[in-house]
Amino acid sequence: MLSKLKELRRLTNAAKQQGVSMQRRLRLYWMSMVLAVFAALILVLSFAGVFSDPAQKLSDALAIQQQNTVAALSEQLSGLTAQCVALSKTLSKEVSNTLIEHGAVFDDLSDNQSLIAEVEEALYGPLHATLRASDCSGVLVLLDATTNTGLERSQESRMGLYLRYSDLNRTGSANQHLTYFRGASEIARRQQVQMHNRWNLEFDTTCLPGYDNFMDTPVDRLADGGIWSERTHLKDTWEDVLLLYVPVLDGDGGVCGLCGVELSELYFRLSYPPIVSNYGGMVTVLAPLNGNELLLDRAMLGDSMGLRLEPKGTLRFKEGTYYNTYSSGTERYIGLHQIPRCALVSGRDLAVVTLLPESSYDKLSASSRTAWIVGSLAFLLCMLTLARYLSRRFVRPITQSIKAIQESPTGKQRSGISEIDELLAFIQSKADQQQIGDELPPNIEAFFSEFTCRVEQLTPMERTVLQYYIDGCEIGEIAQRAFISINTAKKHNTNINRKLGVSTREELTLYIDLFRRCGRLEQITYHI
Amino acid sequence: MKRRKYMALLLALILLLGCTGCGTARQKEDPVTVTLWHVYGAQTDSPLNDLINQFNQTVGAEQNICVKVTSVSNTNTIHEGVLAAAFGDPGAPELPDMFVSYPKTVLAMPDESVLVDYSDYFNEEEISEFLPSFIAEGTVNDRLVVLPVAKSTEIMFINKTAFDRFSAATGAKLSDLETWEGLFNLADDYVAWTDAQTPDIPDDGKVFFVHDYHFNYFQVGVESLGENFFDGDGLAFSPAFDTVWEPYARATLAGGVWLQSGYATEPLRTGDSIVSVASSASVLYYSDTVTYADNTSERVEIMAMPCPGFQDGEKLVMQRGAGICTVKSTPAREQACVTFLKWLTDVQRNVEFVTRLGYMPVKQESFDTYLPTAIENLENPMYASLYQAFLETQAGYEFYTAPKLDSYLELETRFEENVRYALKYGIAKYKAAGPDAIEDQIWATLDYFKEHY
Repeated sequence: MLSKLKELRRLTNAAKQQGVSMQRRLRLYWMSMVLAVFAALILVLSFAGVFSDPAQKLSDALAIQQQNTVAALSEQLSGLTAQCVALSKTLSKEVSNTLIEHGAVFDDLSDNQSLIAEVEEALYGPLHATLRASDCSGVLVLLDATTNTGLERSQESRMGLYLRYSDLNRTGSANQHLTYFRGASEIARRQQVQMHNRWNLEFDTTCLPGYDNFMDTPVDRLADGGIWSERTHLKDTWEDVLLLYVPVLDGDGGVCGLCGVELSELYFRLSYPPIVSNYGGMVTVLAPLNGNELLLDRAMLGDSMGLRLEPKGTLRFKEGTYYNTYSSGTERYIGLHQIPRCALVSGRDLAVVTLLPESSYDKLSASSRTAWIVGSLAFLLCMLTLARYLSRRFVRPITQSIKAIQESPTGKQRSGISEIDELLAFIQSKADQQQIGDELPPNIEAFFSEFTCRVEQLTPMERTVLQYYIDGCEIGEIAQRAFISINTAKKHNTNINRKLGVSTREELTLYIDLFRRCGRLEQITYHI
Repeated sequence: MKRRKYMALLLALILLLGCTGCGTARQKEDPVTVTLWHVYGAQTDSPLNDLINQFNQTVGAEQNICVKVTSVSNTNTIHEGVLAAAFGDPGAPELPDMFVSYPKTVLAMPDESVLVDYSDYFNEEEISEFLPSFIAEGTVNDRLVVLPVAKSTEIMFINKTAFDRFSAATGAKLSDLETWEGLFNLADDYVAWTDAQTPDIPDDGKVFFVHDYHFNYFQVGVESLGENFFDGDGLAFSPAFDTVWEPYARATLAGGVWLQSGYATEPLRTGDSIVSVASSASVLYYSDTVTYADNTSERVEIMAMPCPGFQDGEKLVMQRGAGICTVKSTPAREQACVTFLKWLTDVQRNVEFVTRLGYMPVKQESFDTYLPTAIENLENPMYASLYQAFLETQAGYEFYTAPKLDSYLELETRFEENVRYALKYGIAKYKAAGPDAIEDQIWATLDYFKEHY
């Protein structure tokens, strides 16, 4: 075991000594460079908002919420219509039964105070039961008769009952208090219901949007006759309401009145709280559609907690790929809308809208972008630092090797990089060879010394001529440069050959070339 | 060189983060939205709602606060809602951030520590601006939990148009209404007079008088006669109680006093009664139009007079008017509520607020500096009459504040139900026994009431 460990250690040391391939180092370096470029690209794209735009996710979240809201509202609106249709049938029977009991017909109701009170008494029970069982804030019935036809306003005054909740809760309970808004006062007292602060005996039909048209429209099927008003102000109160009308038919099938339910603005607000999402609070709106505008002043608004959405003016919308944008002129919203099956007295479509403030979305988008930018920037910095570190580590062995070679050309150096180590080994072997080549044999050295001594015995003029020969001049050129005749030059030539022990010009050139090749020309050079 | 490079890099980084951050810095934060249940206006156009809109558009917009009204009702309904929420009853709504309440509601809560102590948000100087008696009334267990924003008192409202007809026929005088004895005598006369209008229909005399709180009539009446109405956690039923009972029961048995539940405004609205004693704040709910059962309507003049007193009693009148409680939540929400309440109780604005509702302001400076001018500028004759009666009440009456008994609410509720029930029973017995039995029936009814209370 111990021997195996020793063997492993030996192999590890050998691997370390062998060094890392420059190719591998370069590969790592370029990898970090590529990653740095990639990080820079991400950074640029982050600035452009390519990664951080959560439009698709927002679209999905909006679509889900819109789907839920449409389902809830459609169920509520159609459920209320169904309950009113059932109520209408019950009320028709109650009216007929009461009239029969008193031997009267519908036309006998007007101007008959006691008969009206009897009819209203009979209608109170079903109306009260419907209010308790329905998802609404009030319930009403109006019959086309009036207590006193002699009054100037008798054309607009119609008998009926109107019950409302005085305390609205998000979750209805049996303990909710009723107020008696319209109807004979003795019924309220008999039923021990508190009268509304703005109670009145009869309805003022001018305050019921679309009343005249509704009463004049013949009805084949009750279910088709249900129609909603737009948001309307409840006279003398602080509340706005949405009313549903369903015809009440007499024995002949003619419209003799209407019954319906009320959705007050407060009730709607409590029923549709804001939906908390990552993109801000989503608010539910039920608004009539007019071209590319939502009529906010006639809309019901869900709870817009934290959102300054007021039931005023219009919201102009523009459809987009993922969602629509809605603008009130001062505020902008993002959302979706859909038109459920629902008729309005104005003939307009009623849109179910899910809205959220664009500012919330922008805030989220900006924070997401910031996270992307900071993240990619940090990544880029890491990659650049790594590249710098790797490049330094990569260059360090080379620079160290160069420095070491400069200091000691013959020393054994190891850089840790195999390619560099091979190069160093090669350079060192060459240097060794050159050093070996520089050491001349002893006889050649003696020859150089002897020849140098001979040169030093030449006269200055002769050394000048010899220098011209070293410089490669011919005899004629030498005479010209030395300002002597050609004969004098030849005479100096003869003396030089004699003193140096050479016989021909070629032999002298051979000596000079030998000194040059051995790098010793300086020994015989004469500085003119 | 290297340092310069690093500095450049650092600068670029800061610039980058600054650029990315500045987009979010400009975003408007969501407003702190606080909810309110109040009683100022009930189902009518609420003047407080208008003021809240004004607040939201000015100070609220500046300080990012939004006050939302989620219920406008009456104190009884809010009282039930608050207790249901506080007890966590099934189906009960959550407590709002602020609600209007009498101290009796706070005392009936299971844990009043859920309410903010305003002493934490108002300094001593600010608290000293309020009338000390109002602060004392809102202090429960040494904690200021009900902040006074408007105070009322009991006032008598008269359908003067109808009273003038009655007066012309019978010689009844408005001054008769200054004492309870005089009022109940007129009630007897009114029943007889109205019954005589339709000789072919027997016993159809009309009710003359309606009182919002019978409990208050007895409580203030007994106290004004110098005896205690309460005895510990119960009622004393002292001799003065009999004194207070006698004229009241006599008129009621004769059919001159309204016994139906509901507020005093209702029978005046339908012409079933012509005189009422109610909170001054009910002025908002009185209509200058009376609609009769045949759908005819009549424009009438509603006038106000100080609440009657007993001939031998002290001039004492019930001080009323709930305050606003704030439910503990987060510091930001609590601060938002307090910001709104400070705005609402500003000396000048408070006068603007209360004079639209028939209340009195809550700060001395409001009384001294702004109220007289506001009263002079009142255009509605009903409001002008009310504030005249207010001033007369202030000058000639002592204000009585109900004690803070844990059992107060229970005593009040039981009393209201039982006294009406006993008197209805007494009326039936009296009708069966005949007119001569009235004296016996007055005391028999009292015995019946005491026995069943």
